[in-house]
Amino acid sequence: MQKDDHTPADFLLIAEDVYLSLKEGGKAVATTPHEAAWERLAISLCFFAAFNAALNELKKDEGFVMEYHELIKHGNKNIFRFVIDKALQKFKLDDLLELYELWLNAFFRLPPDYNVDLKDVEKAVKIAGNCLRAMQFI
Amino acid sequence: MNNPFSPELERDLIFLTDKIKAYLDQFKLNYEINYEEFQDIFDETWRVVKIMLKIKDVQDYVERYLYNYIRELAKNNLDENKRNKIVIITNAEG
Repeated sequence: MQKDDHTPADFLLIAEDVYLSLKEGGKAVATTPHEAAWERLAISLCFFAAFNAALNELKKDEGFVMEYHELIKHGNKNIFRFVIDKALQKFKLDDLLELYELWLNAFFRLPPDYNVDLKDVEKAVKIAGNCLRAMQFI
Repeated sequence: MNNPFSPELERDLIFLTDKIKAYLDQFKLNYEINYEEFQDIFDETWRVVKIMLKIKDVQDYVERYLYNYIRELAKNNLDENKRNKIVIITNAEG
């Protein structure tokens, strides 16, 4: 079995592959016809790339780690809010909130409420790239 | 704008907007500032004001450069507890 040694940048690379395949035609998306499903998946990958990067950076602070584990142990708090709030306070990583909104739309608002499109993917890839660059993951 | 936040935070919002305008005006840029509100679908108490800045006729890298400076402005002018209440989202059009 392969060691699970991926980094947040790997999620972004996969999302970029999907984006390029959708834009220019490629193997990844040619195997299935469900373009919107690929788009929703790519946006999710972008969000988790940036979210994981922020979490990794925040975990360098012992105080944060203790608070984080307490919350997980009690399971009564929105972890996304907790991590994004801290990333905004500590790094002013404002784009992460925008990416979270794109992910909410991609994953929890299905048609007819929300129709995802390639522009959303393009925006998500750009934001995730900026977040990872800001935290020096790429 | 219907601001659901404290008068203190509203003052910060105006102060920050003025700082952003002063910074951008020195480059004679064509820009638009609007405000939006983020509200989470899982936790309705999580609300954030978004300063939406659309900078026209600039390339992406210029927008990034300007955004980085504006982000520093916000970092220096908002104390840590308020930085998660106001966010700045920039977009380039050009």
